[in-house]
Amino acid sequence: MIVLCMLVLGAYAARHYHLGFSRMRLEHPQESNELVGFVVPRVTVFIPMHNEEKVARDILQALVDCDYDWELLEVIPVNDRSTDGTRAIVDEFAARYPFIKPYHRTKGAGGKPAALVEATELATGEIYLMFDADYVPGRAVLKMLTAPFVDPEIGAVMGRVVPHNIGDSLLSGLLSLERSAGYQSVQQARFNLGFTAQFGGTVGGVRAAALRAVGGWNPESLTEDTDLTFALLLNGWRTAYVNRAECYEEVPQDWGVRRRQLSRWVTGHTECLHNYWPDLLEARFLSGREKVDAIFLLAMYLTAPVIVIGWIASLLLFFIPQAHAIPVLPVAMLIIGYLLFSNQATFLEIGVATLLDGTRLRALLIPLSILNFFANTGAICNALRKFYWNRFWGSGGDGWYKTHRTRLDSKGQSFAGAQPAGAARQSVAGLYHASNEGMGD
Amino acid sequence: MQLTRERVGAALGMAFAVFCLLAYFAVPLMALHSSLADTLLRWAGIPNAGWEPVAIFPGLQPGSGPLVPVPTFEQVSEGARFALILGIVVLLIVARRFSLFRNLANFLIVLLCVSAVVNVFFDTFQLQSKVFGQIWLRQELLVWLLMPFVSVLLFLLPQPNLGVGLGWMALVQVYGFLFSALRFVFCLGMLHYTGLLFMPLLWFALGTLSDLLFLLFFYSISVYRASGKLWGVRSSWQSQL
Repeated sequence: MIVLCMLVLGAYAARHYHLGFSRMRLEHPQESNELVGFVVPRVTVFIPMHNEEKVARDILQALVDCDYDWELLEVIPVNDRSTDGTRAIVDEFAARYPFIKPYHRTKGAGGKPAALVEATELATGEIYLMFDADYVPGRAVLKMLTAPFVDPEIGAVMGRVVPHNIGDSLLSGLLSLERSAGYQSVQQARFNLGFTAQFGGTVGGVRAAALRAVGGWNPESLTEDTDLTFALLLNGWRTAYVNRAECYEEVPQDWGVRRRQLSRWVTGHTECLHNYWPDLLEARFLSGREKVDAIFLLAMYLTAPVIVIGWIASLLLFFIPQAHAIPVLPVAMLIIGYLLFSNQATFLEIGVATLLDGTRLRALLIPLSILNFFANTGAICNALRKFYWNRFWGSGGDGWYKTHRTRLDSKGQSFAGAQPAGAARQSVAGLYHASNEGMGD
Repeated sequence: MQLTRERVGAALGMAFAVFCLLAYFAVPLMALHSSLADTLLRWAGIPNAGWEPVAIFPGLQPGSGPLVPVPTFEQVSEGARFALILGIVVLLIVARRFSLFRNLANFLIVLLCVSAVVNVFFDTFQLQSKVFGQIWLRQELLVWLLMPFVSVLLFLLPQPNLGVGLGWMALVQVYGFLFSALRFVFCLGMLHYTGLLFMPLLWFALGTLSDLLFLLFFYSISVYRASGKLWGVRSSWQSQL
């Protein structure tokens, strides 16, 4: 049992080291930003909203402030049955800016995918971009995200998510490390190596023709973004990653919120694994390494129960005296090697991202990532248990869960929501200013 | 910090050379570890009747395991049993109050509960200090042997300065050796005073987890310093916690 666990986790560790060092080599970065300004297609920006009065004003103002030509821009705030002041804020912006065309949804199935299916009917852009309502896009993000579409093979694009509430709690600090590793190291490395990047459903976009070609959004999926990534891949489209297209988000500050967010990702991701793995393996136009990478990506959450099984097996071994007498050097070497190398592999990606970003103080949080590691492992196992239970008995899952946002600063004050537009603009401008200082742009 | 194939090849070659050197001197290293542990045991006042040879790996001369008296569950003091219950209660409080710590605390609680169950219902199970020394040395010897490869990947290659990278490698290797002796003696002390009650927890927390944590701790400092070297010390919101 331990040897099997070691093999599975060893393979993932090798992948992490490969991606980490590939990123550190800085070889062959595919940079589409030189095309910014040359490719200006008509763009529709979707902002799915459900009770977003705290954050709606920020994102709408940020989009108004973007440097994209308003003649070629269409913003569709998808107000999905909000019961707070979201509608009033959206309508206020729509009255002032003609390119903001709200879609107020009052009935139908809940959740972001279902809302997007309906809103897409109204869109007129060649490219659909998406931002969650709590995100704050920078001025040039729209141009950066549309530039890669000059390549006709590109079906979707993904930008980088940067948490802005790093200092609000230990969890948000740890999640910022996780996000850095995920985007700066893993996404960029995978894109550089010729693998398809993962479309995250926000700070990203999809070519309208490509979306139509794969049958549109999957309203059944809890992670319509992952679903779309692989639907596109299986139809010959690639997903590009633009590291410099940064957008600021609020990461969960409370473990309960984080656990539910993780649970949704695990369920949706694993669902995609079950839906797509046979087609991925049979796809003739994908190389062997692309298939392996895709399967590894979809199956990544399954490593959590493997880790737990490994721990339980190790615990049992401790209480079996005969096991202490096993002196086989290669087996012992593998076990210790796995413990050292596998566990360190993900932290290497965090370190590489920290080095590339130059965010040195955050590096001191790396040892505490072990808490996040334990917390994630438990939450993932629990989510998988529910997923397979529901799948086995044919019962429905948890359904869509909207991640709770506070938009509070570190002093507990409201960040910008429920304030006049002027104040909101000031806050957003503050973020732009901070991004220029911090990220060396 | 740009990596080249030559740089990676040279680094891995060096790791292999250090690995061979450590393997060649494995027996003296283990003897030094035991000697260090013996000194620490005397300083701590933990009784030890001596050291006996224990087989580590085939083809390798034996190491030595301590002969520290270990009480059975019946002989363990009331205080130790109370400490076990207190430990579980404290961990339960931590798990309840600090959500981020919950899973780690729950895992440690499981270790303590399993230990209690084994002690109460399987009283034939015994772990002598000599055997504990044997499994400890096996694990740590392998950690020392594999450490050069881990160090190269985590400490040498990402460093912009070769000398600093080599310094980190040496520091991690030496610290790993000394820290192992210290943890070993602490475990022996607990074994002597509390029997097997806390051993599964200590085996996990002071064994695997400690090896991982001390590496992560050094790694975070090395990344912090390397980042400062590459980017300069900046004071912007992105670098603030």
